[in-house]
Amino acid sequence: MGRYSLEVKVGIFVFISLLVLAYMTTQVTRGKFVSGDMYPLVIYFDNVTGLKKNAPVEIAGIEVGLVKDIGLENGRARVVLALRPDVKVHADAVAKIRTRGVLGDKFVEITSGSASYPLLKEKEVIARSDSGADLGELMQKVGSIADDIGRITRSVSNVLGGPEGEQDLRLLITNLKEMSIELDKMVQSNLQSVNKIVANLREFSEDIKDISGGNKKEINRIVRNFDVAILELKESMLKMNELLEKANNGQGPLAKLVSDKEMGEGLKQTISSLKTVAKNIEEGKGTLGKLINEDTTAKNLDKTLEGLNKYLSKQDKFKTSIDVHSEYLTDTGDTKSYVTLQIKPSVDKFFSLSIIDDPKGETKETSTYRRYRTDKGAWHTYKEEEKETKEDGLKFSLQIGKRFHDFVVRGGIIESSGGVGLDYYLWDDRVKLFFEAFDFDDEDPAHLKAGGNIYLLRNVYLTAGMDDFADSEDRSFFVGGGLFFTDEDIKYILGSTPLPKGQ
Amino acid sequence: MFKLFAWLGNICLSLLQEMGKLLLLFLEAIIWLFRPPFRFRLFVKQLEFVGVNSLFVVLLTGLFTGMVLALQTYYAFRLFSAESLVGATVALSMTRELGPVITALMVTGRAGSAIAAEIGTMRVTEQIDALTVMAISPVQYLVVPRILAGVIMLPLLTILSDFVGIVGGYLVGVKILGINSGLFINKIYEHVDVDDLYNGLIKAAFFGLILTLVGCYKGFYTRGGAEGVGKSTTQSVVLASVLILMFDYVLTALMF
Repeated sequence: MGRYSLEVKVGIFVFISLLVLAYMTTQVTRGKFVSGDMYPLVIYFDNVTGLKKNAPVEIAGIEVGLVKDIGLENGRARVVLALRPDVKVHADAVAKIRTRGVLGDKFVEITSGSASYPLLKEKEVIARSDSGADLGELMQKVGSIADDIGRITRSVSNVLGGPEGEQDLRLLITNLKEMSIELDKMVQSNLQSVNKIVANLREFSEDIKDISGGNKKEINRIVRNFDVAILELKESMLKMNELLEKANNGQGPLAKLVSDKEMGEGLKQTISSLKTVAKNIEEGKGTLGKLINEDTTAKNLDKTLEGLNKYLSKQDKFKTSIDVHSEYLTDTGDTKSYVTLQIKPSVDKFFSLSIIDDPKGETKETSTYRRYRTDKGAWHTYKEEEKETKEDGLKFSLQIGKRFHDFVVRGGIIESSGGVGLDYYLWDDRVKLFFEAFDFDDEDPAHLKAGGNIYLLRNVYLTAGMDDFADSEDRSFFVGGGLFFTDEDIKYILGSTPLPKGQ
Repeated sequence: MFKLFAWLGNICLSLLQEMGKLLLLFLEAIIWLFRPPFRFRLFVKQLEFVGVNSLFVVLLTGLFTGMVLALQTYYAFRLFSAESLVGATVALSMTRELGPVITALMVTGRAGSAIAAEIGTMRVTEQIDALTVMAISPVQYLVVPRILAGVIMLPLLTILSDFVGIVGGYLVGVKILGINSGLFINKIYEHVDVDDLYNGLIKAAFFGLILTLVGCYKGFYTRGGAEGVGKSTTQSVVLASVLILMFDYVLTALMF
């Protein structure tokens, strides 16, 4: 302990406090959604009484997002929902405003729709909405329905009530009896009709026979035409024969082709090898054969294509960003600049490559020990130290990182030496606190650097902190600024740059 | 009659003068913050003094604040059978309000007064003049590390106070009053937002600035021997407490 007891005490205190902060923030954010990951959907309602921003959105009673914005558009309420990316909604989904609890908290309930409809994408509209029955309206409707029912029962009782009604009923029943007897009779008389229909059918088939008999002449003509066609075919075959004979005798270009011995031999070989290839293919021998004949090939091909598709769509999710910033070191008055390329294969992972222009450069220390002897007496040893500083040394960093909630743990090569870093994001990523440790060699204490970035705009930020604070010689505050571009910005810039039109 | 005006005018003038001096000391401290030499060791020492040494008293007050909050709100919520909201109430009031303020008041009493007394004694025994003679800026040597330590340590202390307060509320609510523990915790998750936590911490950083700055200021301008030291110590505690509560209102109005 000794000299370090003070620092260690403070360090432990800070460490425990940050641990508690991390625990509390992760606990509090548990189950809540980060707004950056959500995708918006739009719904139009006739009436959104009592619905507030940030009200929950549920599917089957499970919270999947929140109400992001409510506004008026053409006399209807336009509600923008933000949904979790893993929640899919089909085009036939229905949105409803519902009430929960005694206090009447409103929330939006949507059904996810049926799979046969296409999925809704960002900013698309859920077409079917239901504002839900207003309690007052509902009561009014129920009242009028009850009135109607009352009227009906009254008239029914008027019709059927009393001795008159009874008589009517009896009449009705006797009528029904008569009707059924009539029906029976009708069926009986129809038996004869069925017999007639069968007789008609027989006559019809006989007629068809007659028709084919009358057309015999036509059929004969068709056969004669066929004969003529065959004769013509015979003639052309004769001509072919002549041609082939000529070829056999060595006349005409075709003949040369055929009678040339070498060529013939070559042709023969080609054909025979073609034959074997075709055979092999048919039997499933060789790669090509396997490829064509086997079922697994087709499956593999399918899988490959699927994988390729997945890969390509993943490529789409890749996010790239470029960060350029400079730091002014207040102690030495030097400026240190960084250019960083960051690639994010998924939301919580990244690789980053930086090139750093360090004015301090790299310092190399070499020490040699020399001995000498005075007057054959004792040996004296002295140390010769050489410091070599390369000016304006370029360094590079290559890091891999992972994000947990608001914390980022990263590591790899930092400024041309092994190191680790820890970042902490605050206020929707508008502030970033960072700490990194690298250059763990024996010469001096490890290079520790801590500071913070404030993102003023989307692409501009300020940075400040303390560099190398473990080393009393090189310790320095720094302030600086930087620019930050993502691939989206670059896309935007490229898209909006006017291109010269080709001639 | 004329004397009355003169008296009123004097009060106004001295008030304005005090405010001006305070602000100037603050600006001077900011300037010296960025100028070498940096005395890292002094800074760490102040971190320990303001932060680590206040830990016990802050935890103790935080714990009891949380406990008494749970007890009081329980009786109110029981009137309409909403006992499960006790947890959320304790957590919200601790993170947004009581955590930062009580921590700041405790640190003012413990560290703020000590800062005023220490610097005041140095002033009356002419140690500060000695520093100036040795070409060491007393502002940089004495004031900067204390203010920086206050700004950094108060949020950290507040976090611990928040946490311990919620634990205290849990102990009283669940273990003594018999509220369902699942409901108690779930209501906290439901109602407490990260912003509540962070805004409380921003407040705490401001309070840290106020209490150390006032302590340094009162000590720095101490006059009149041992009696003067006592007076400026008392004044620093009173002024810092008042300013903390006033700024609490302003910051709350701005942030929530």
